[in-house]
Amino acid sequence: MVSIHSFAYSGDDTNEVVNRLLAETLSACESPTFGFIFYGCDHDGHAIRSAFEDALPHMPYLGGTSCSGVMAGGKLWGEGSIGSLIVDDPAGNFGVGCAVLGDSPSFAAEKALNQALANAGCPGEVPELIWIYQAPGHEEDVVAGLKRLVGEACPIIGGSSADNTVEGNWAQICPMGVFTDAVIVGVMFTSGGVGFSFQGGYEPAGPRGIVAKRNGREILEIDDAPAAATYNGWIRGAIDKQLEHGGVILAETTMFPLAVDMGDQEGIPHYRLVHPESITADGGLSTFANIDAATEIFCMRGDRDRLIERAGRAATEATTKLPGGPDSLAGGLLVYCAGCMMAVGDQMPEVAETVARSFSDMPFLGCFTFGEQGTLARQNVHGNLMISAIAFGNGL
Amino acid sequence: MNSYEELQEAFLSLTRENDRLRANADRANFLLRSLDALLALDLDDDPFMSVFDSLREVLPHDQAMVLTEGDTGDLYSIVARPANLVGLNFPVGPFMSKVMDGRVSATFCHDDLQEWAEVPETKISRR
Repeated sequence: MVSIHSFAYSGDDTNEVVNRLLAETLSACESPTFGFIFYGCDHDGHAIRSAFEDALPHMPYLGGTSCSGVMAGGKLWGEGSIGSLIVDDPAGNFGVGCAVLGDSPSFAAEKALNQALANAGCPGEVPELIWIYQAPGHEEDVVAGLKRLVGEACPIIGGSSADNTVEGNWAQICPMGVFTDAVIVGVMFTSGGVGFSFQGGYEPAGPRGIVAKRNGREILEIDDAPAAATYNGWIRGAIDKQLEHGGVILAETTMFPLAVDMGDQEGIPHYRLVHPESITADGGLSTFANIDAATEIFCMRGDRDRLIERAGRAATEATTKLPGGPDSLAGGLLVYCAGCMMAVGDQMPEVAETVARSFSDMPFLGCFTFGEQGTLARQNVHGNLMISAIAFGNGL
Repeated sequence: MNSYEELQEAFLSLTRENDRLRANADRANFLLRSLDALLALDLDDDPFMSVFDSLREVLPHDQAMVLTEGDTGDLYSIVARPANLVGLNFPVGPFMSKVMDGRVSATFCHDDLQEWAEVPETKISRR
């Protein structure tokens, strides 16, 4: 039988918060088998790791910083929070591997996956699910490296670690260390089954165009015209101010992201969302995810209510997809885009409440990220402003 | 229904339910076809070949074996397609133990599987 436990506490003193969390973990969990740990970026990751190593030296875990802390138990715990989700599944196999992204993020991801499988005692096996947490910036390469080994058949889900101010104060944590530039890979072979979901809460607003020229994550031209000016026209001048001198446009564009059509299932199109981050000096649009040249892009629109409801819908879909059906739910994990969180603002408690309800008030943990990875139209992809959810089955 | 969002969600929910029912129907049909194939066997026919044929429809494969536990604790191939795989033996390591406990397992590489270490590469691919 599988049981899931979530714990969260908040405070300024890292040691005090993590020790409280661990005391409860040790008293509640019979056989802690695998853990997810997320924390606000002001906490000392090394102290958290050290405490976990002392208390649970044999339990593999992964995670890292989460924008403005965590959500659990139907509420937000704030910037000073640390949260953990513990999987109690002695009949399952779990492992974690890590590698610094370096010059070749895709090879780093391969190395981390092989290490995770070896640590799980399952070398060469295709896991039920791969869960990743990484530094933002090279997510497509990471996913490509993992797919080289396991293809599209294995779901690759996760997020990009985040700080509170987009200043680079993010970190990734696992038994091997605390990093600022690594990919951590977790592999799961559960005995109770998992369900998963990856969704975005936006719909096409109408305007669309073709990426004519790009350089890495910068779109230079849309339909042979400067990208930023074209996009500004699509969103009715919302970034007029930045268009002249360049600058960050994250807040202005959260409700109007770009998207790529990933194909449809049963007539319903699935869009991978891409968040424009800033206007560059040469009139290009810098984004948080890659878009290939010659790709058709869509201007999307969203609203607060939809971003709130979508979190619950992702949790519900993951639960519905459990092999044992929704009644077998033991708990869940939710990755919610930090950009969506900022857009939802003071209504964020409603997100925590709706996710708790959708997970039937079973234990869950949520983190807030600067990029999300998941399976869309049967492809493992990296996107922005997305929500991913995993539901764990109890195996009964 | 008062929004496109709700309409789409309702449609998705029905689609998921339809997928689930379709998968169940596929599974039931597969079992029925397998049962039909077994019931149609002549006394001299090898029942496992029929099982392999049925399996191929849901799990495309080039090679298939039925393993049984021998006196030494190793697993021996007693029926196989192609037939030259009959007689191969595999030690019971961590991988086979999990399979014998009921786990369905897929691999993308055999390099680190101790069960595969002694198997001639000319017979079974390591990757």
